Parts: sequence; C-alpha cells; structure tokens
Amino acid sequence: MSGIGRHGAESALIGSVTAILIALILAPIAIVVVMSFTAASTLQFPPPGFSLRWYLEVWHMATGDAASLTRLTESFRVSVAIAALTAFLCVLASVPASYALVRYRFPGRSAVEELLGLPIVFPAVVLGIALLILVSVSGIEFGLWQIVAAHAITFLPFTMRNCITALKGVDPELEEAAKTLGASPLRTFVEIVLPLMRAGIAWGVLLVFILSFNEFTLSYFLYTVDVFPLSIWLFQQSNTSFSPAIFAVSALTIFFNIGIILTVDAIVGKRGGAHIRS
Amino acid sequence: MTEKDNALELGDVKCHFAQGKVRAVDGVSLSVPRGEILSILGPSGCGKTTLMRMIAGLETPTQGYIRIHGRDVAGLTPQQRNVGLVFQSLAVFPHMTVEKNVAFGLRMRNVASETIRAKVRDVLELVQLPPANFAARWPNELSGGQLQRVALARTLVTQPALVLFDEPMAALDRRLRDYMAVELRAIQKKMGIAAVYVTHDQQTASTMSDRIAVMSGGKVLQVGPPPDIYNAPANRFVAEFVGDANILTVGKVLSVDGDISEVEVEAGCRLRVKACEHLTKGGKIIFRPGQTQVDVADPGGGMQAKLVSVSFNSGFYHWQMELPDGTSLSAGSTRDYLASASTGQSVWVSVDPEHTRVVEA
Repeated sequence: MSGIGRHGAESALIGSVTAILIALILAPIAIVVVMSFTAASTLQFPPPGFSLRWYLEVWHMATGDAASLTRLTESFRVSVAIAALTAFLCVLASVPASYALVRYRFPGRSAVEELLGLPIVFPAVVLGIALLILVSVSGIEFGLWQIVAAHAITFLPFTMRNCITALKGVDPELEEAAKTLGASPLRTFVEIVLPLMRAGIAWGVLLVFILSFNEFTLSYFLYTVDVFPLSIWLFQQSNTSFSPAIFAVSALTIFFNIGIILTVDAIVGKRGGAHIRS
Repeated sequence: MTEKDNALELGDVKCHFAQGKVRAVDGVSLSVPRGEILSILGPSGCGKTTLMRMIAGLETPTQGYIRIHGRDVAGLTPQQRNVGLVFQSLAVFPHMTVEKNVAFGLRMRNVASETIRAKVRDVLELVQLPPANFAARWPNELSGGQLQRVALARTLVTQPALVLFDEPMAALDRRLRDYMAVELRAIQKKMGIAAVYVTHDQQTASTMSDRIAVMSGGKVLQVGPPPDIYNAPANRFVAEFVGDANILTVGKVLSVDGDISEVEVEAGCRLRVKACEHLTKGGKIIFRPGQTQVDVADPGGGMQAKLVSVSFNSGFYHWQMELPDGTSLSAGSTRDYLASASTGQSVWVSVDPEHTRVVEA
C-alpha cells in the first residue's frame, strides 16, 4: 500500500461499513437464489436440503402440457416484448431530442430539460391510475401498447440522460470536421455522432429494458387478460400458490438480467470505449 | 493579377454577435494568391478563428463577401465549399482507424473504393506516416505529432481549393512545432494548395508563411512578408506582437537633417532616428534588441542606462537595461560586449538610426 492510503481503524471501519452495505443489498437476492434450490416444498429457510426440483418444475410449467394453463412462457414473452418496445421507443425519442437539447439553444430549452426529470418524481400509482382512466375513457383496446406507453413515459428520462451525457462527450469540432470534409448533416450524424454515442445509447437501452422488464406498479394497473407481464404473473402466483417454483422463476429473472448486462458490456463496454480518447 | 488568380478573397468581411455589441471580425479585406500560404497572426480573441470559420462556412458573415477561386461562397454550406480545415483540436475521428479517417472525405464524395485506397496510401506517404505501419492504427495509439499528420492527410487527400489551419500545432512542444512548421510548408508548396494558417505564435507564422496578416480587435493591422512585418511594423501593437521591441516615446524633435532627425525622448535622453511622418510629440520610436548596441563606454550619442540583468540563451547574450526614468530597454548579441560590466553599473545604449522606426502613438 502507498503511504497516502488509509490506515488502521479508519480503514477497518470503512471496510466493514462497505461490507455491511453490500450484504444488505445482496441479502434479499441471495435468499431468493438460495431458496430456489431448496429440496423442500415449503418456504423453510435455510433450506433443509438442496435440489434442482423447482427448476425442473419451472421447466414443466413452461414447456409441459400445462404450459398454456400456467401462462409462464407467455408472460415472459409479453414482458420481453414490452421491454424491447419501450427501450426502442425511448431511444427513438431520446437520440434526436438529446441532440436538440445539447447542440441547440432555443426558448424553453431549460424547461424541457427540467421536465425530463419529472416522471422520476411522479408516483407510479398516480400515473397508473391516470393512464387507466385515459384508456377506459377512450374505449379503445390498446393491448400491450398501453403498458409500453406508460413505461416509455416513465423511463424516457433514463435514455435521455444517457444520450445527453454521451452527446456531451462528442466534440462538436468532430461534426464540423466531417462537414468541411464534405459530409451532409445527415451523414455527419450517422457516421460521426451516432457511433460515438453508441455506448451511451446501448446502456440507456439496457437500463430501460431492465426497468421495464421488472416494472410492477404501472403494469398492475394496465395489464389485461391477454397482456399478462411476468411481474404480474409472479405477484399472482405468490398470492395463490406460494411454491418455491416462484423463487426459481425469480432467480431465472435475475440471471436473465445479469446475462443482458454482461452481453451489453461485452459488446460496447470494452470495444466502444477503447478507441475514444478521453 | 486578376481575381481568378486569387484562391481566396475577402472583402470587408464582418461578423458581429449579440446585435453588434461584439465585433468578432470588423471589416477584413485580404487576398491569398494561388499557392500562397498566409498566416493570420494575432492574440486570442482577435477574431482570427471566427474569420477562419466564416471562410469554411461554419459561421455566417454579418457583412462582406468571401470568394474562393473567384466564386462567391455566400450561402454555400461547408460541404459545398471544398475548403479543408485542420482544427486546433485536430478533430481526428476517434472511432475510425487512420485509414478510415483519411478516406472519410473521399468516401463523402463517392469516390470509387479502389481509388480511395490508392489515394489514402499516397497521402499517408506524403505526410510520412508509412501506410504499412499506420493505416490500421487507432487515433488513441498515436502521438500528438502523428495525429497532426493524420489530420493534415485527411484534409489534403480531398484536394481542397484552400486549406485552413486553426492553430493545429498549439498543443505540440516548441521543437516539434518548429519541425512541423517547416514540413507543413514543404508539403503545402509541393501540393500547390493555397493555405491560411491562423496562429498566435509569431515564430510559427514566420517560419511557415509567405505573408503574415497581423490581426487585433477584429481588424487586420498589417499584411506583408515576415521580414517586413518584423522590420517595419505599422504600429506599436504589431511591433510588440511579432517580437521583442524597445519602445521610446518622442518628447521633442530637436533637429531634422535630411533622413535623420535628432529627438529628445520622454525618458530624458537624446536619440537619432530615421525621420518619417509620425515623428511628432507622442510618436513611438521602435527598435529591435538585436539591432541595439551596448557598450561600457559612451560611443558617442548613446543613452546612459543602468544594466539590470544579463542572461545567456541559445548562443545569445541578452541584456536588460533601465533608463533613469525606469523605461526598460533590452539588447542581444552573440558577442559578449558587456563582459567586463556587472549589474547595477552604467552602460551606454545606442542604435543605428537606420534601424529605428517611428510609428503613431
């Protein structure tokens, strides 16, 4: 250790506080994962023994004869579709919007920037009720789009912030250089701005995808018989038949999320950042 | 010389911001003949970068015309102007290899990929980045000097009608900058492309250019070949900006004898200077330290001054003196004229009237 490092008691204190915090954050997740491997059919903790029986059970729920009855696969598909559409819509709106906010000065610009933070402080329950009223008043069947719309409104700030940060890291002189070299504004955007924003966009997509995939409150207000997201499925299962299979599904959901993060990191995290001079 | 012979022509170009409160460029008229390299020299904030950005089409003039090879470019976008610009930040695309960077301009012009490959190789050779070693490299693997060459190659490969340089060497160290200045000039002459080089560094400007335009406060103060600017500055600002200068203020004109006139300066001493129309009370007498003589004894007509400091740098002795009223003077030579003198001692400072110049206050 260098001479500037922290010593003795101070170091021990910081270390133990950090350890406790990490333990507090990870404990519920760890319990879910541990419980998913229980050999018992009760919710006894710690489990009396370990097995993969609940994963097998989930396999049957997803693929067996009863699959259409349990609707697990269908819920998963619905959640993935909602998350993907939400992330897509958010990026579609955020890329041009962030470009306008960062590169141009126009009246009301700061107001727009402030408004972007609003959905974050807006209670999801209130938004859920409001949207539910809107949907019933309209009398139109929106299907999965009503959840997508709610998620897009709520999670837009996340892609916006990622895009704004990414764009602020793109030197405007790079765009000007492209233009003096003969590139049209559109080609400049496609060839210079977008590739340099790539990592920021990817992380924004990832964040919104995961937030949307796991979202419960809004989905609870807006789900229908045909559109039944996984979070609602988990909630209903835990209300009706509290079997450890739910833990297995939850654990799989966690693995799914981690898998996506690692994939994005592998694609943009290393390559995307490597060639950008700081 | 006809208009067509000029690669660039600026006519009373102005650029005002904030409803005319800020006059970044305030009436600049200049012309750059084909093949010439002109430096625009000035302190930061003098408007030189704004002027350059207007030529490239990145800024719109408030007034005046810009002609490139005789064609008025008002209303043309940057990509329609065929003007190359090498940025101060170099603006090498970080997400493209050297080859892709250099090929960018050609690709935007829809040049066939075979031709692009050949041209990129040629220009990389020209800027001394052998393609075998450098084509596949990423910008973050290159040194400052190499990035500079990439930026230059990327601009030159499109054969622009005019190349603009916005202090691209400001970040390089002195030695590399001097080297690159010489090389840049050689490449520019070889390709025969007219160039405008913006800088605040008079040494780079002198090394590099056929002519220098000194700018201050949005206006061009003087245009001419580097020796003229140095030896015959139009005013005090130019004199001080393009090198060290001794400056004395005319107090009273004592006598005029043909070309030579004797004056009493405000500092109290007498001095023989070359006469000109600005030789009136308050006019500034300018002479260079390199043409200033110093002596331990009065050679006749010298000004008595106190030796303040002596230094030696790169083969030159440099003396700092002070007149009785506190005005400082300096002199430099390769020979140590004051070897026997020590600081605090009186010395005599003189200058050949031929090497003096009197300008407006």
